[in-house]
Amino acid sequence: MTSLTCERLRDRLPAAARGGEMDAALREHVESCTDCAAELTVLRVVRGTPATVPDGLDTRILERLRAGEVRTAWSARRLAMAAMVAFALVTGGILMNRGGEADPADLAGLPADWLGEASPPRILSGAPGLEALSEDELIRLLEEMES
Amino acid sequence: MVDRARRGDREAQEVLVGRHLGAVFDLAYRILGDRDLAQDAAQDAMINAMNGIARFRGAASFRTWVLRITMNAARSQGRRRGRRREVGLKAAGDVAARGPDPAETAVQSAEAARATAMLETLPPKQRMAVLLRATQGLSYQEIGQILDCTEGAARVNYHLGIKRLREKLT
Repeated sequence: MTSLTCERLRDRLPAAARGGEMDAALREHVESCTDCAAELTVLRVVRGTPATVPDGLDTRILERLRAGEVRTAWSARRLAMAAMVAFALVTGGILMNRGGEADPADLAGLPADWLGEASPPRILSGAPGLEALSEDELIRLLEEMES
Repeated sequence: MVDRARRGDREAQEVLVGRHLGAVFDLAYRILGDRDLAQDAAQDAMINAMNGIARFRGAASFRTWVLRITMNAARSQGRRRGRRREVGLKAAGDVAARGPDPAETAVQSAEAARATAMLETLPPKQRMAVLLRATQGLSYQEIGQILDCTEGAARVNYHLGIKRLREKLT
């Protein structure tokens, strides 16, 4: 049964599942609430054991960074400027600099608001009682939200 | 630190790599289910993040941003190798078995194997929502930013995933 206490404490379950300390209020609630206890169990099972970073992976990344694979904003602009000047010298035309920064494929799908544009509306933010909905109701809600 | 890194401060970039590599590798591994592929994906993610850091405006946290890049890098890596696996969540014991302490192999419990099988039955967004909340402790807003959906949709996907996993666990 979802209660106000559930609503208040549920957000702390992921931290508890990750080994965070449970204070008395949370511990007592989990002991008496089957919903929250079950959610905590699922979170703990899913978390399992975090993958250990392989030896030397950090070094390999840092070596790639030091080797100059990373273009900073400054160096990217400088590169773009050099390209623009070279092009202008060859063609004698005027070139509008459109930024010149590299656009890694893996960044192409980033949401527009991460690039400083307007945020999309966030619905259901903090909406209470979601846990009380049945699976069918949740699916219908999701379909409505995504339509 | 992020501001310094954006200005091209190499030392700051190295600090950011050290600070986030654990989460990046863990997520890549859970998506790909293969340590070698996860290493390549983690490297690509970190290099791509540093290459694109000038475009980071702080609308999301740096951690959320780099995890989004990691998810995309892992998917690209999977596609490149023709072994795409959406959030496979290899059994936790597999990590321990190939980790520095073989004794940790014992950690591979029946529950971990069940978790793998259970997660693979969920649709991708539900899997990712549960995974990101369980392993990274992300908020619904952050999960929405990573999955490119609203905070509300992230919440619903998470609760659907939890509901279904609960049924399978009982």
